Amino acid sequence: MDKEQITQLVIDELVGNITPEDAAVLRQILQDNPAAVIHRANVIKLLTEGDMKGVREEEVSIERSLTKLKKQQIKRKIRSLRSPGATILLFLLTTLGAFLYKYRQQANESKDTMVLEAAMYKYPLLLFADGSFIRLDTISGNRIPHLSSDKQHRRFSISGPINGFPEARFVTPRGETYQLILPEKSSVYVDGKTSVTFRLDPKISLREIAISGQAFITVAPDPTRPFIVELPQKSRVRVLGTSFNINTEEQGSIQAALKTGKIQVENEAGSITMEPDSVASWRKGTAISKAKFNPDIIFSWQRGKYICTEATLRNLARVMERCFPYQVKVDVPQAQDQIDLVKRTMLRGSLITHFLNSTVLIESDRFKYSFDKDSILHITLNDVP
Amino acid sequence: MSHKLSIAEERLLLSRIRKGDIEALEILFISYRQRVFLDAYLRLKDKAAAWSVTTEIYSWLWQHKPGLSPFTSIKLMLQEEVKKRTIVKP
Repeated sequence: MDKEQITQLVIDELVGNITPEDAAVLRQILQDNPAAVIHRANVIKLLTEGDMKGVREEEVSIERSLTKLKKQQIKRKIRSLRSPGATILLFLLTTLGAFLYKYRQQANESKDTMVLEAAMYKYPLLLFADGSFIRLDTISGNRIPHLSSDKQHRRFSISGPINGFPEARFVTPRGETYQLILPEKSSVYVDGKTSVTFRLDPKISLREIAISGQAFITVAPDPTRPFIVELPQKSRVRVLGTSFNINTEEQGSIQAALKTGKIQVENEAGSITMEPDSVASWRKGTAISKAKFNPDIIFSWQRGKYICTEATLRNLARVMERCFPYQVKVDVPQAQDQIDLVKRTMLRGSLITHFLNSTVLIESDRFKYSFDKDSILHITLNDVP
Repeated sequence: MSHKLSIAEERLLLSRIRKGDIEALEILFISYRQRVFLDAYLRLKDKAAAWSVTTEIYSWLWQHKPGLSPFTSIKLMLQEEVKKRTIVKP
């Protein structure tokens, strides 16, 4: 009698996994050998009674065993990752990943820069330190905290930090004017192609803004908090509660015209205190000159009228870009950039060609103009093909 | 309950295990776990030890999968592994 064979057949019988052939063999053995019957009975007793009673299914917990197997598989995978080849591969993948990340970041930055360049001076923008910006002509309701607009998108109010930034820069498009209400409630009426940088914290102790272009400022009275306007060429206006006009591009000079109150103008050469209806102007490194002014001329831009007596095409182009929605490029050598000193008037909303055709600079036959495919106005010498 | 596998299914399972298919090993384990456990228990007369031998055999199967022949009878192979492991046990 082969006990091992009988044991294996009985096991198959018990688990219900015995083939018909094996079952026939077992039956034959049991018929031929009474000892085999006893052995079978002993095997069955051992596997079904005592410790094994009712535990055959439970003892080999499938979940427990499978979990163990899967853990072993994971361990093997980790072990294979620790091999030198895997380390080199991991290093290469990390390097490649870092390179791709940097490349993508640069691509994104480049894309953002392109988007910003495309929008600059075409739409009213609010720019932040990280290069991000908000197109103010597209905002609606109060979706952006601390930022609101009137229905026409001409007046924007800012009451506090936006997107977590402490500072912002408001940039206007060419040929458009806007009103900006600062967080501390001062009002800035901003001319075209002008930028105003300001703090977003309404409770800041020193109220400070920077202007490049032209703006009319009405400062909210607050004797405890000075208001300072930082200007190009290391100059500044210290405000003592007032309204005034700033133009950083007036015939190549910076100009501060006081309407009401009192301001102190400072530059590298000195400082002066101004009274209402006086205008201060200065160039880099020169002393500040003071004179009476005609408010009809200085403030006329707020009514859409630009009266200028520019002596160069480049200075005239700066005024044109504030009045008309066109980029102006003067393709004339610096040495020949001289025009007659006559008073010129531009009207916002009128045709730029009307202004160009009516001015002496075209009538004189010295210059000509053209628009390229990007609607950029080029002024060139007439004898240039 | 164990599931009775045909010879063709066993061969297919072994082939898949050799290729690293853990699910194939799971199917094999479910099909033979009770048999291996009972065999080990009859030799050891200890449930915990029998269970340990059972899982050990399946771990061994996974680790040595490249050497598994698809023409080997799984039942006999498992039977031999139980024998080997229970003989060396005290």
